[in-house]
Amino acid sequence: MEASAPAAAHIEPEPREWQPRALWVGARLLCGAAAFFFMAFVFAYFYLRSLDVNKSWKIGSVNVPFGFGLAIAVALVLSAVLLRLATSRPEKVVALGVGALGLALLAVVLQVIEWTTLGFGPASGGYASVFIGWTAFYAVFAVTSAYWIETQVATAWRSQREGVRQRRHEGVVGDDRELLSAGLEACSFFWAFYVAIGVVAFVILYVV
Amino acid sequence: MDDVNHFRRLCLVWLLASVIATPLVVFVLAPGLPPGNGSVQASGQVVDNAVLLGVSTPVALAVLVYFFYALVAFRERDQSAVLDGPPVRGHSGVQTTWLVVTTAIVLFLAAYGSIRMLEDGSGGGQGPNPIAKPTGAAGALQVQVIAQQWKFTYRYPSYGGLETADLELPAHRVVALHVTSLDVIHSFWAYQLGVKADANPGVDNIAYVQTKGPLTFNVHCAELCGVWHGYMFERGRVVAQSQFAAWIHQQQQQYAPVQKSLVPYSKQYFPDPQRRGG
Amino acid sequence: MSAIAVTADRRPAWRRLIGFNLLTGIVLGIVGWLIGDEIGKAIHAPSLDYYSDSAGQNDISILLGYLFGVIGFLIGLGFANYPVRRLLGHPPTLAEHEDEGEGVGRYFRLCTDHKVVAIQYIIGIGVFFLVGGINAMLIRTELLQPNTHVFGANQYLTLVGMHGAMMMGMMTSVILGPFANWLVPLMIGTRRMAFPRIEAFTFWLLMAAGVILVTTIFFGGFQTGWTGYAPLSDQGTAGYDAYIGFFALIGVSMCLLGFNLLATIITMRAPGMTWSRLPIFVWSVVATAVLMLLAAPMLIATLLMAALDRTAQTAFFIPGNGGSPYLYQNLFWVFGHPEVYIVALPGFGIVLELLPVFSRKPLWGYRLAVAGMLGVSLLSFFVWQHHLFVSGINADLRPFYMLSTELISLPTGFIFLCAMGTIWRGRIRFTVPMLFCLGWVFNFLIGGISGVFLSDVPSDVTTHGSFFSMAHFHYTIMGGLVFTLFAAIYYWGPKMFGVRFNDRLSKIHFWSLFIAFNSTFAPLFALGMLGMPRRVVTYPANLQPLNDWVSVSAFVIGLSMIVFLVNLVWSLVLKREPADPNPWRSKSLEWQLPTPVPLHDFDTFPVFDEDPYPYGVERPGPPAFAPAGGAG
Repeated sequence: MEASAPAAAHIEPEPREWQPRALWVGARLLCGAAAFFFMAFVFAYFYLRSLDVNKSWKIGSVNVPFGFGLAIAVALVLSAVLLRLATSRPEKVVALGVGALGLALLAVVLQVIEWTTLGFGPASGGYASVFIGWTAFYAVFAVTSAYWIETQVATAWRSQREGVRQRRHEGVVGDDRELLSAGLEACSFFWAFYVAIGVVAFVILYVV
Repeated sequence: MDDVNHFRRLCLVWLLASVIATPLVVFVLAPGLPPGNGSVQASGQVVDNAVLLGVSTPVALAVLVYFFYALVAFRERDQSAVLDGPPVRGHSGVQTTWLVVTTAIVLFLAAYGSIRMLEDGSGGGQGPNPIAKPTGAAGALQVQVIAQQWKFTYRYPSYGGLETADLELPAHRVVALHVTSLDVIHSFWAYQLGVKADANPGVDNIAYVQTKGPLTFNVHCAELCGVWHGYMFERGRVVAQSQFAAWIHQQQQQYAPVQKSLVPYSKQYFPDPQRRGG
Repeated sequence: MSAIAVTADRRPAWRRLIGFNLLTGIVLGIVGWLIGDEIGKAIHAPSLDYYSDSAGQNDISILLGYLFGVIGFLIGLGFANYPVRRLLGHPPTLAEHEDEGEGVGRYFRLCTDHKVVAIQYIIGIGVFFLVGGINAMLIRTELLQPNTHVFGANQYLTLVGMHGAMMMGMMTSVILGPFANWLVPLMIGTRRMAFPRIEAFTFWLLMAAGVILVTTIFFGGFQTGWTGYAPLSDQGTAGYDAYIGFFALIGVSMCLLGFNLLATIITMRAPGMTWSRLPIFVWSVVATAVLMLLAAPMLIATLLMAALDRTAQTAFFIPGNGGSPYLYQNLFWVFGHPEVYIVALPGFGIVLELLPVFSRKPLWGYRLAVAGMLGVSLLSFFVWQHHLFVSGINADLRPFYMLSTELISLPTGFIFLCAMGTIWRGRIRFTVPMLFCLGWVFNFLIGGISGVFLSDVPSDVTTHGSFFSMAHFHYTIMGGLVFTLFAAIYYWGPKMFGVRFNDRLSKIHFWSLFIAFNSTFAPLFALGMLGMPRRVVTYPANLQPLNDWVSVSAFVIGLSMIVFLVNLVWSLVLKREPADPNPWRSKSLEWQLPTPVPLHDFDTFPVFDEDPYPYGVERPGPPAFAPAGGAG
């Protein structure tokens, strides 16, 4: 199921810095894609707010609980900080990573609780639509990112127990260590960026 | 033969072709182009098309003549051997000239188009706050075009918000068409008048048109609006002033019973949101 | 010739069907659909207030069915295996099923060899291209008469929508999918894409998307065309859910394809392959991939908003509740205009890549060409409101959008200039790929110049939303994308498939296509000018002669495609005449490899010390490297 080991000795190994660099670049590119995804919601927010079609930006008493928003944002920021710290403390990756993962999931859980206790529904005007849509897809991708964080934590945990495996693809000589740390760095960079989007969401949806 | 001679011959062919083709296109083809002479805006579009054609004909010919010439002159005559051409990788003079010429053409076109559009709006829908009004727009006849699946109706606010099933406009008059919709997006296209304006629900989209003499024009919905989009067409008329007054009077009589139950005239209407339907 | 020992699969045939492959994928896809459908039925969908569930109009169950179906399909193909291993902390690996030998089986399962994925792409997309083409034939059949005669209005609009969505959605990957995946590693001197599993993922997602679009016919079709404008979409039948599912998956696939290509090109260039030595096709891939990466997420977000409007009763696009149809139009075209350049840009790259080979000259004005591609790519984000010139939106911004739209003709002009400079004093050979490139020149010239009329507001008032604009974008997309696609197939096909195409059939294909194409679409300019709007099932009787002419020409296009299919079957299946490793005497790297290209592409990585077009220079030939297997 895995890459074929280079059976023949005459195959020149791939430069070992390629894959770590690809991870580094990939994380940045993903940030661009994520930014453009949520840009659509930012645009929707300001567009509908400024048009205020049929005086229906907010129908009835549309008030979001500020406390929930703040709690979610704080949990996200803490999570990003922990994961970022983990990149420079290889020996504490598992502990810090578990913390980051827990906080990320906590944010999602808080979000779900907030939806169930909201005093308005999706049809209550433009603001309600943007709020529901934005937070919903933010939560979905937060769960996906949490999976990514989990893989980093699990990999770190397993390599601590079983030792770092030899790299086996494309004939690269040496162990997986730099690939693993590049993966963690990519994950934490993306997560930090994603959390920044979450903070923007908090500011726009709750504060502005 | 060297580059310069090739280039000279090429330019000669191009000049000849352009000198023959451009006047033909501009003075013979373009004046006959739609949408014709039905309104000031429509004839403006014809002039605009003529100018665009006049600019693009020599440009298109330049590329076509060049390729035709080069493909004939530089074709490989000896198919047996694979020989390389000269390794020329660019020519800064040519590149600069090209850049300057194309930029000049583009800036001219954009400036020309903007100026033409700002003169009288060119018959396009400009939203609730038009920036380009024809002279006399202040005294324009206001006509509201209401699109719904799959019919246009018309209201005349200066005649008590009269709503009619057909469109009639007085000749030689500035008309402000307020296009709006009750359900989905439609587009009001009065072909011979050179008018097109999208009908958006909840939006007052204003298009100006200056009518000329009497004529019959086609109205068609130009934005996909559901199953019967293809059947959403009708005819409108531009008639003499006196005839228009008579028509309005007749319509007021005819629709008097309905008039009472109509919603008052408004720039836009918000019926209950239709989430499902046609 | 592969350096890897290939172990033959000795299991009996029935046994080989069991495992993670396409068959399992389809089975699990159906299972997933059923599960999603059942879950959805437990939730009360707003559509049920209008239709009963018996009509199959429960949007929530349909959308969940698609979601779970796709997940099941991907699990069945084996895409879940690696993520689960990673979840348990197993270390990262980079490839799957690459070493499965020469058999046909690897084309039917998850395989991360970039050459296999490319072949999968070309065949898979080809099937859906055929579906879209047949839709076009049916549309033209209906338009033979001014009134409805073969199809009803709803069927007709569904055909129009499917044709548009198939061609504008799936065909965004029709060049990048097969050719970028196949060529980029070979051209920049690496053995794989940066993220090989994502590479395979984009392909299988595309296939799922195509199937989803076709299922729209079971739910009443959709009446919105490929643009899917709201609020028409909010009231559309359940078939619109298929449109959402299709286009959202296309968006994900596009975004990831662009992501992967960019990551590969940025990080994995062989020694000496500096940015200024990249083959021009790779540059066009860069320009396109940037657009894919950034524009596609907006599309996904927009479609998800539409899905929420239809299921959760949000009001993004419903004016009575505080939404705005303009929001959809803006978001869609912010994606939509880059999208048409996603379609056009790879064609620029192919033309400029092929002209040097058949003119035997280096590419003229390399830097200008690169600037042109990147310029198009950048500018395309700033022109979207020219689709809304008569919509009543931001009238004061019109001069700006007029200018920015016309400015795009500057970088596009660079491409033409480079093409013109390249053939000057060359030794031009009229091979089939060259003919298609020249066809592109003609078509794209007409397409580009007709675009000026649409970008000019006064002119646009009449041509907007008419057959004129339809003719315009068919000239740029069909005349641009499809012609360069065929150029690429005829040019790289001998390398990819290892067989030679029948020259006579290929030439018949080109000439019939070129003539029929122009004969089909040139009259559409006139039809638009004469007042025929797009997407109508009826038209004035006086336009019938022209419409009939167009329809008959369109059928000739269909015949020409049959010639192509015959050529494919004849050359690929029946005759199988082995191709010369370098029939065009090209000097680019990919042609120096043996045919078929070995599993690991290069045994030693090539070292580049010059640009990829060393025609007419003293030190000819490829960069120094030893091809895998030692064959030349």
